[in-house]
Amino acid sequence: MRLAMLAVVMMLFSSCAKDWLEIEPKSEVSADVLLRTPEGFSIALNGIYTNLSGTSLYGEYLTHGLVDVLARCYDLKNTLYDQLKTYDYASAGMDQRINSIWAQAYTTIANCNALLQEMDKKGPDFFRDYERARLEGELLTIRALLYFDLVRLFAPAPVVQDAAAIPYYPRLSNVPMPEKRTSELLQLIITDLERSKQLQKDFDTRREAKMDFSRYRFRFAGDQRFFGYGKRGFRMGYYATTALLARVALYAGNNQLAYENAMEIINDETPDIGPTISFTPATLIDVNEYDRLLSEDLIFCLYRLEFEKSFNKVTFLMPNTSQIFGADLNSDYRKKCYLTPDGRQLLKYDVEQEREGDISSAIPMIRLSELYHIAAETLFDTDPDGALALLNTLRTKRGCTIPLPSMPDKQAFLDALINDARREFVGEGQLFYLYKRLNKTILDETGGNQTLTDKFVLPVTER
Amino acid sequence: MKKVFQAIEQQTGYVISGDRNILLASKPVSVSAENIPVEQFLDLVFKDQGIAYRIRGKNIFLSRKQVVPDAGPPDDPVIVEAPPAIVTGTVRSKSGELLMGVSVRIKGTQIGTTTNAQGFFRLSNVENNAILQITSIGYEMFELGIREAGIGYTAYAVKKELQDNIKVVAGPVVEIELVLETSSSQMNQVIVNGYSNINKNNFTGSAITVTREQLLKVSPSNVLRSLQIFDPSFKVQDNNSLGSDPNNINPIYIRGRSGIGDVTLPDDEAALSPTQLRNDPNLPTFILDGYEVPAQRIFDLDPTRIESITILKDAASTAIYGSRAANGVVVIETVKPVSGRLRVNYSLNGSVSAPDLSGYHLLNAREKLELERIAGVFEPRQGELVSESLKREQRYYGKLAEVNRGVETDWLAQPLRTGWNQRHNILVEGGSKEFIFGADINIARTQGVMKGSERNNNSIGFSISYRKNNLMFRNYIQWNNIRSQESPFGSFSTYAEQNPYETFLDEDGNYKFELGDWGHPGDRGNPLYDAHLKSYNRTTHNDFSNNFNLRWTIADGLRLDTRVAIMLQKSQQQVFKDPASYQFKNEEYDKKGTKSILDDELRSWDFNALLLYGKSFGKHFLNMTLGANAAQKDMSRSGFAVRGFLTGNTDDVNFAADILDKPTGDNEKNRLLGFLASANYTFDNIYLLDFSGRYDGASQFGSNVRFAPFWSFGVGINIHNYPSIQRKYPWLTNLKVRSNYGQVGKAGFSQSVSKSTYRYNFESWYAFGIGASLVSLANPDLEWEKTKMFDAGVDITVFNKLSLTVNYYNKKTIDLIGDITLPASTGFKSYKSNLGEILNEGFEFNARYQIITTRNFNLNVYATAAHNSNKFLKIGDALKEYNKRVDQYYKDHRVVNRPLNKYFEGASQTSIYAMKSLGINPADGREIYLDRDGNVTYKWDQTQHVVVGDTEPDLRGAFGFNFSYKSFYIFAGFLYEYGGDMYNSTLVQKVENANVYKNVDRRVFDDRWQKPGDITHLKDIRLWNEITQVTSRFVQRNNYIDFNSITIGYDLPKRLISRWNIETCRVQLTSSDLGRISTIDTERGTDYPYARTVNFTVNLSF
Repeated sequence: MRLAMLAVVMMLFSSCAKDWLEIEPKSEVSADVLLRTPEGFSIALNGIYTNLSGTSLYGEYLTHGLVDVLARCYDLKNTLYDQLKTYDYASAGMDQRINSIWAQAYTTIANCNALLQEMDKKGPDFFRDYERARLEGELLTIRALLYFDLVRLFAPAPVVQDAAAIPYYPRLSNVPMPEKRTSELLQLIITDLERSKQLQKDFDTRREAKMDFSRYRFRFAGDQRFFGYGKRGFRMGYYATTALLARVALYAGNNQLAYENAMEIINDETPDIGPTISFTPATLIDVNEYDRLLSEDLIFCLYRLEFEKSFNKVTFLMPNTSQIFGADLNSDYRKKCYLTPDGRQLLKYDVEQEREGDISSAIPMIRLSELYHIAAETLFDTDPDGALALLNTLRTKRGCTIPLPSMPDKQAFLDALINDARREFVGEGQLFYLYKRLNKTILDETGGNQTLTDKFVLPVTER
Repeated sequence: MKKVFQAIEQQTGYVISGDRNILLASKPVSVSAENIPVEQFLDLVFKDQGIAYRIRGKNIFLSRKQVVPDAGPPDDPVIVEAPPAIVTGTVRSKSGELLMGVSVRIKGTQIGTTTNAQGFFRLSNVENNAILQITSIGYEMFELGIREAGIGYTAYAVKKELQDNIKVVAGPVVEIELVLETSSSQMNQVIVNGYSNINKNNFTGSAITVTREQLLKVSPSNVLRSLQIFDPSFKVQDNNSLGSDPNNINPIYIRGRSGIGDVTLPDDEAALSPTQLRNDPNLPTFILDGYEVPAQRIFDLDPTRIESITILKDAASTAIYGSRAANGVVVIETVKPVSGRLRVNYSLNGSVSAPDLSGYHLLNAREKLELERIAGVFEPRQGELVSESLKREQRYYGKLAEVNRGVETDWLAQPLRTGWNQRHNILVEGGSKEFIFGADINIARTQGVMKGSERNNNSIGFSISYRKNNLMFRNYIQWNNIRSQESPFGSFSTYAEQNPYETFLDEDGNYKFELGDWGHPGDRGNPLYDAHLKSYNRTTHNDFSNNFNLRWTIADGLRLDTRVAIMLQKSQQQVFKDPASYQFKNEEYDKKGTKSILDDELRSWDFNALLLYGKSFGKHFLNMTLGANAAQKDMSRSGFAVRGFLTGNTDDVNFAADILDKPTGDNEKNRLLGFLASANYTFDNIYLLDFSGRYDGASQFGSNVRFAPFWSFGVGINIHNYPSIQRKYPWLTNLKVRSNYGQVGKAGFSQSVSKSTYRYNFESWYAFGIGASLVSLANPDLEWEKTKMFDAGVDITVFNKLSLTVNYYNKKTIDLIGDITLPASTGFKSYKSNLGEILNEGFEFNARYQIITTRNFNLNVYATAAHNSNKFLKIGDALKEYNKRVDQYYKDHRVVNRPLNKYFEGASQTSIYAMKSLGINPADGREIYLDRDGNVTYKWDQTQHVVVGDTEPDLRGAFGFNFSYKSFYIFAGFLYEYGGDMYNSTLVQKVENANVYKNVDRRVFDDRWQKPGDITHLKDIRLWNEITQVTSRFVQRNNYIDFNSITIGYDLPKRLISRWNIETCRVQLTSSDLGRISTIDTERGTDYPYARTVNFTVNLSF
């Protein structure tokens, strides 16, 4: 009898035992708990965006910091980047920075992979309309963005060599993955982006969405719902994905794909209104409180966390403004907006001016002008005049009064493009890749040219 | 008789207290009485019953009338044949517990019985002059003589000195109350496994039991280190850097290491916290009085509080611990108070420890200056300004002037002292058979040999136990307080590298802030200046525990045992750096001085319910345990640091200017649930069979594998118990062969192993709101680490003189869990996974020979030896990745002072990997290497490393002797290791890679290559800038004999001390770590020196 009672007690015990042994950690929140609701997914996605805006990624190193220093945008004086003048990647501080780009990018990729995997486990009713497709789309695009920049930094340019470059993790893994060749990686990135476009298209190309995108894309007021209609400019939505795809395709040498995607955005119209994304109009620039970021033509940007702390406009001085702007020195809006009147300091990230919305806290990631560049470059082989027209359109929108004459060959055209890019993208981290993609020499602060060749590939000591 | 008392209770309201069993043995009475006082009535009733009584209030206390038996046998033999005696009695242990299943047998016959659940026995037909042998597991055999006396019989103890243990009521029915002495001899031991007590003779496992007596002889102060003398497989790992730091707990392992401890590179954050031994994958489980405690509790336990320690090593003995068994289990029982009159035991242990600097051979001032001169410190440099060269020359003469002036600073002596330690233990005990109480107080003051390093311990405990009929409960409550303090002098190595021509006092006799300006690179702060500031590093630790135990004897042979233990542990570490410290020299005022506070809290409870059954049926004996165990551990930790103090005196956090870092916190909660069963069957004391099993669940494991079974099975034969063997080989006292096999597990990991966790980014909110990032990667399929253990052994004793135990074991750990450092590209720093298999295989040998055993004179010698070979059978991909990181680390760092661990299949965990060296080329003084393909080369290459040694010795163990003459005794214990290797980093750091600006080892002069033709093992003295990398040249044999303990003791004769009412008095002198003979000459105790200690102990009992 007593034994039987004991047996009953033990049975009761073991039935609740499994629950009893399930302990949730206190000082951290377990994935199971966080991702129990769609809101949890949104918080995890916020975390991914926060990572992207960190110092090691687009908060500094991959925008106005390290990569722009490599592109010789600045005249460096006693800054943390002094050693980069000689491209001494192995020096103490530098290898740490480079390692942290690598580590942070992969950590963020792992976060994307984790969410993608968790999403698959949820039933069809877990998310609301569109949420699943858009969440997956955003994650795919972010992952593609990171892989693409890893390829651009740590692998040789495709025009130089197609070598095994960086490891690719299609899913969360604790086993190190083998390195893939640049061409394979670019193909995987393109596949992801095309899938993301497909997923996000339905939602983002509705008329209302387009109207919101053109009008409120950086507004913070209004809709606070995570998957709401506002703030699409801060999201890796359909347009960001398309623009990124154009950028990737160009780097991969797929001119056709690059051109198509660039033109898709350039020509995108919102019914009854006009172009969905257009250049910052002169009317906005000529008034006194002009928009230093030229934010109207931004397609995607990240939210700046502590830019004012990390960016010091005095240490990063512009060396050869007049050489770059040439005859357009007094007319180009980019000189007027991005730089101080003496052309020595970068004002792009100046936060002292109050502006409508929170646009001053944006980190520009992709702008319309880049798509004009892409379209022009890919068109040149088949239609040089059309290409020149595209470039001149862009220049006109930027206030340049003297149109460029016809170019004798592609090299001359590319030089003109690079010159325009130097005006356009200073502080945005795109120039280094441009030189690298074309394997060009870099105009340095003394007016000379730097031949990088093997220095185009950054070394990572802790892979 | 019972009825009589029921009537009394009903009619008068008096209550019978005391032992009602007395009434059981009483004769029937019939009394008729009316209106008489209770006293008169009782007198009437108890007439001729041998029962006395006392009345207090409304209680009647019963006891037996004292009958003092005559000493010695009767004078004249009995001629008249009387009817045989009936003997009845109750048997108790010293702590008053009624003993069940005690065998009572008439000597020389098979006639006998066993005691029942009330400890009662009855034996009829006992002849005159018969001797009853009363035996029970774990107790000394008691021989009881029966002889005729008066109208019936009486009983006496055959051993006269045990006469106090019995109380006899003579008569036709002899009534006896008997107390059995706890056994201390090797042969008749019990194995206390924390759940039940097993007769060692009938057990198929291998376990080592150490009694209090033995332990105290080895060392009255350090329990854990002493165990090495008794069990060669029990190893306390030496920490060469921390030496004899009183606050350092060294890692411990039993029968080899089955977990991968250190898979981190020097730059990585260490996984193991040094003082707590948390997360140590090789640490055995410590069970104190039935429940699990942290190793630190045992470290701080006063050895005089210990009753016995049992080391459980194989599957048969540990499987009952299931998921906690893989590293072995150490079961510690503390002294329980015993009944009787109020007794006070006092023991004092005083000790003196002095630093042992025998490994240091530093240069004196003149030699040091000469070394600098030879090394070219004062020679002009190429392209240097003349003024600079002149300055160099000036410095030389400046130093020379100091040397000539007689400056010879003994830096090593500055932070050291002679440590005076004391330890007091008072135990008060007493009570009746039903109610026993005890109180213990411990006070310990330990001083380390470095000035200011201390560990002070106070504890107080109170125990009560009460038993009534079939129920017994016991409660022990204890509070422990430990205050420890690190030496403000910091690392000892700082002093070992100071130059002897340097002075630390200025002209006014104050400590200099900075040392002499000789143009030396690096910080020139005077470490002694800092040491005399108000900086401190203190830890206060308090713990409180309460153990409750309820025992219910359900029926004959069946018992229910429940235990609940609750423990609360709190500790706080405060580290304060005086704002005047050298390190803040260039800081702003509001940043000088830091203080950090770290709080640790552990709350745990442990519940056990056990059903124990033991019974013999003729020749069959069966012992069974069935139980359930649930436990929870909840740890939390929080810390913060502040900075900016005005002075060293205002060290409260309130004086701080601001906070230094974000406060940190950490929580960890574990739960364990297990069901256990074990059975031990013996046939005729010859054939032995053991089974134990446990089904365990733990919260730390992957959600897919929460529960797992653990089990063991063992068989054995007591060959010496065969009647034929007993006849033919009477000298064969003991011969047992045994073997067991089983599978146990390990769960010493934190819960984050099985859960992926996110952390919120509180510092930076994103445009859309707060974000969270994944910080750890889950492994839901993480399985228990399983260890398959096989053990076989023989125990032999011949002529009662030589006893020998030999064990062979084979421990294969599969699904090894390890912290893998991942490449950054995975997105995580580390990950836990089942990554490999490790095999530990070895043997143990234990011998004891009693050379002389006479009445006054005893001498025996003993020796133990153990061999363990460790081998990786499988390593995961991740460990391979780690090996690559090691190579990369060598590539990235110019100086690597010690060989880094690498792991390869087929190799041992403790292998030393380095470049194979062929020695120094006598022609040019450079080192020549051999690469993996056998080519001779000058080039050092990290990819060409091979195994050049193994730190694990071929043999390790202890030997010594035990001598006693009357009440005087000597004990000696030596530890040895043979065949292990060690990387002599002193030769590398202080000779070959010696920094000439610091003091170095003397061998820098003696043994180095100087001219072509010199045959030596140290390279050219002029190759200063060629850094010596890890090579086999510095791997040396580490054979040693350690003079672990030598003890001299004396029990003061009773007649001397009884006049002061002292029962026993023992004085003892013990020396610990007196010396060491070693084949390797290296600096020992680099951050904290080793100490030699002499202990003086007095045990008094009033």
